[in-house]
Amino acid sequence: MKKTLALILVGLLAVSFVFAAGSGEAAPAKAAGPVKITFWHSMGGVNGEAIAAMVNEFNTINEGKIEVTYEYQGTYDEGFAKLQASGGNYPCDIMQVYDIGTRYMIDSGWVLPMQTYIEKDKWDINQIEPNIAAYYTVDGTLYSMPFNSSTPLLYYNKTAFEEAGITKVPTNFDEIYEAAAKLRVMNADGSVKRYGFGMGNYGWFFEQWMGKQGLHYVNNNNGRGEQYATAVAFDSNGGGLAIAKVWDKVLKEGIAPYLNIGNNDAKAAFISGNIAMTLESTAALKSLLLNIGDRFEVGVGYFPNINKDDKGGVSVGGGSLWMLNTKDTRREDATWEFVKFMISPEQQAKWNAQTGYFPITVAAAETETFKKNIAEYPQFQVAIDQLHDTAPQYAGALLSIFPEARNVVESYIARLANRTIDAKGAVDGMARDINKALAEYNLVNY
Amino acid sequence: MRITTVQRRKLQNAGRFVLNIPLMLVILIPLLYTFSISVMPPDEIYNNHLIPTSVKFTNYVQAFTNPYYNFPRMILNSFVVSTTVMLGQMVTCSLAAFAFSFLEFKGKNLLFLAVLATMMVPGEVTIIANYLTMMRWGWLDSYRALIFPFLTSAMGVFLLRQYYLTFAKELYEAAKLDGCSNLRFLGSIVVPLSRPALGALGAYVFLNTWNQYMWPLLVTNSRNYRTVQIGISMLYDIDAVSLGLMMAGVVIVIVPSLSIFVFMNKQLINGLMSGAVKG
Amino acid sequence: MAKNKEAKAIRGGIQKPQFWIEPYLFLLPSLLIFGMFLYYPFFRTIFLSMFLTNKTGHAKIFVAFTEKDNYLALFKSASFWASVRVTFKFVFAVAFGGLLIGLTSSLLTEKKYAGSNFTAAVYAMPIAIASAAASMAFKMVLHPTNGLLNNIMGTQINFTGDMRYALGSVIAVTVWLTSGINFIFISAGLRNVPAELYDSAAVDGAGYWRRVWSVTIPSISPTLFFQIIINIIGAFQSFSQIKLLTEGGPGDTTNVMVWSIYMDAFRNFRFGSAAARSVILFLIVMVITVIQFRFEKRGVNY
Repeated sequence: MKKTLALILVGLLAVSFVFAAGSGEAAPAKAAGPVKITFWHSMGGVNGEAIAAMVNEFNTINEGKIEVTYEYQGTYDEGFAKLQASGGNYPCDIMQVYDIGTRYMIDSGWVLPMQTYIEKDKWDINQIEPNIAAYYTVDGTLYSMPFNSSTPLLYYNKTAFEEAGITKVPTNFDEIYEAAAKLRVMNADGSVKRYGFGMGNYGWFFEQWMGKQGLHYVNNNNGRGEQYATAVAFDSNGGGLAIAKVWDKVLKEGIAPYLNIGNNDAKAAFISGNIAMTLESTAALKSLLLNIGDRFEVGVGYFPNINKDDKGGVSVGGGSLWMLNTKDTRREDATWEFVKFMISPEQQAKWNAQTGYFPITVAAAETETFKKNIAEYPQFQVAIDQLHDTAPQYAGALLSIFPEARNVVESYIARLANRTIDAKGAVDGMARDINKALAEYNLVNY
Repeated sequence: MRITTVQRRKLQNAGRFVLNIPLMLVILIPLLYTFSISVMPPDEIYNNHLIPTSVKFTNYVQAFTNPYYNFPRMILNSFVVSTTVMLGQMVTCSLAAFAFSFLEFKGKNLLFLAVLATMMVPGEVTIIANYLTMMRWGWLDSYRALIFPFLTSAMGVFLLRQYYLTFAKELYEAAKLDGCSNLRFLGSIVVPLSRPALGALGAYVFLNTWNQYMWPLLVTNSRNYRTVQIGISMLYDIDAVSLGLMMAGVVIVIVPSLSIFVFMNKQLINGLMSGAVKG
Repeated sequence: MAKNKEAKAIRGGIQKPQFWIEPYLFLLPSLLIFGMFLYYPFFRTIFLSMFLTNKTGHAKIFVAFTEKDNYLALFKSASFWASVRVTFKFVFAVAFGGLLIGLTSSLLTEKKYAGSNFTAAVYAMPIAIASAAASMAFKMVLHPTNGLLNNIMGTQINFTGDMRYALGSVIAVTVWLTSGINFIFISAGLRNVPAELYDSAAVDGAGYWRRVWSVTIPSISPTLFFQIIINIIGAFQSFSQIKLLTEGGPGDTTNVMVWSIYMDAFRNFRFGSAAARSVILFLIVMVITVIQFRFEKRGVNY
């Protein structure tokens, strides 16, 4: 009886092996039949659903000729790590990588620059918004195709503004301090019911503020020069200190609560009305509105300047599409067709309408889809104006170790928030750690 | 006299139950809160509501039926993988634990330490090496890759070894005298008597495998082989905020594992009833 | 001691000579899998730790025993030592916290009474929840301005962003997560205690607590020993909660060693350094476990 039980267990094990053995990777497609290409991405939630819809539409249009399989690879960090481990094996044809992975991808040797096909196909590169393309262009070569781009904005509680009698949307931090003082609401017991301002400890903002001040994050022309970056510049040009001082002031004077690393807690606080102003990406507009509902009106403004007289501009964030150098011409051709589809005006208008990312194609603004979306969400026009008001020279730094640098920045701001160091200490610490890591990276990889 | 004793017992029972309430609350509240969020209308989530005023299951419908997520398939995949790993570990760990507890051989202590050592190896670095191994063997995107590396565990060997050590040595000696082979002894006597430990191990292994995220993410690419925890992560996006949807995903994924656990719990109790008397 | 030797002799005497290979056959399936998926990667890790690796994880510059040695760099780093200290605090708090909760809940449901099945199910439930899913739920609970906990307490504490509370919060979440497995295993152990021991204790007139201390705990000492080891080893490997709740911060206050390994390997592309950290962590856990096994001889009764 027990023996039969044991035999059954072993049998089940054997069966499962047979079952499992029958699966595995399919053999590559032969000449007949559609060209199969794989698209790795990191969009979840409604954004992921939007990608699925776009890919399905492409597959329907190109039935029998090209078949695209999209595969979610976790967050940007996770997908990037997976690519790093297996990149040399070209596990996919086209991959979405975040902005801070740009330098790494350029250096990796796995990439076929988009410029190659742009020239081969005689595709007019001016179809792309120049301020977005600038980010992914080095030395006149566009490496990746921008896809889901965003810029940061100031979001504010319009209803609260009207109640407090504030008529001017703040454009720099001095104005934010003024407005925040009027917007603060206290509880009977002395605790704060609503803060005037709040922001997440997000490294991206630091980078944007460097651009807003018209200053460089790293040396060698912000990492875009002939030589790669070898040290940070935000300590010597004073930009980093100005930013750290803002953090110091808003936390010390109770203008804002500390809302942890990343943007999740800040978003939640804004939606629930605990803070009246916050900083967020344009891509968050739709979902913020959805979650806020009728409770209050939402207004947006330009991402604020650090100093009153800053003359810089924002740069884009988000991700772009990278073509891997598979050397299989059929697949590469098919991938280019797919890329062209994904950035066509109508698709970009749909993408923008569903997610809040920028349409990267200039012509998208002419489509009906886009016009309808703008009519429904006029706040988005502000984002577009901000994008047109910036310039390619503020395109943002290229740094091989950007993911690490961003973490370092966030970690020192967290220390600042906990009063274990002051503003200058924070900037010095950031510079020290980033420079050390950069030196080691350059030593081993160049 | 009788009435008082019965009353006393009822009071004792009630008292015992009440004693449990604080601890139960601590454990249950995060779960109830998660469920609560998943059925709340969005504007209530951020209004510090604990209990929703209206219950809507739209999040569940969306998560479950939207073909992009493919939850039903992912639940199936997780079931297949978790069950196979569980059964596999029960077999291999019983064998190994038996050797470590009943048999004598050269290098026994060293080998046991070597087995335990595998529990101490941090997974973050080995995971990449194993991913590359799977890639080299062509096992990516298959059940094999999800199952094979986990068909044994030091935890299982350790647990069963501890359990077997509590058996009276006379049992083994008697069996040997009767001419029973080691394998037969293991299969016919030891295994049935270790139902509680096997049940606990089975539940633990099943649930651990069910809860895996990083490994399935690395070794699977297509939706045919993805498992449930990846499904939950697909509901999350860095820019879009859909907390209710995410929590609905969390609940969907907890339900099967909870049911398995309840089922195993019953087995555990049954096993204990029959094997309760020890030497 | 003498009894043990006798038992060993009897066992040794019964085994026939041609079955000397048999024990190894029993171990073979497990050892094969360990070999392929644990020993091999680990040796590779040791190998990598002696190099500076390039951005794709390949060994580039041999630095062992030179001034750029990975291990040396770690020993000189204040952040590394902070992470060691944090890890120890975290591990021992979680291990004993989990054990205590598990023991409490097991004792509470030891006897059957109305509703005991339900309470048992509740106590074991955390095991069914993935640490990532639970961390997401706890993130909502611990939100600085409108989290559940702050609402209940009427405060505005930033549990995960304030250096004073971050480690405690992560410990609490981990204890919650591990309470389930502690309950299951300790309960299984409790049920194995022979009834006669309790009866004789009752005859001797022992009260509840006396009985727990003198009869229950010694009888389940193998289980407790096992559970402590499992808790400690598991706590050393705790990861998802840290990733979702604090990302090792603020500062280094929740920077447990596995988190810094993950950061080095997956975010900073420094495999050599991550490998060195892994080796160090492994040795630490190994030493602790060996020490605990020494204790087994003294405190655990079989």
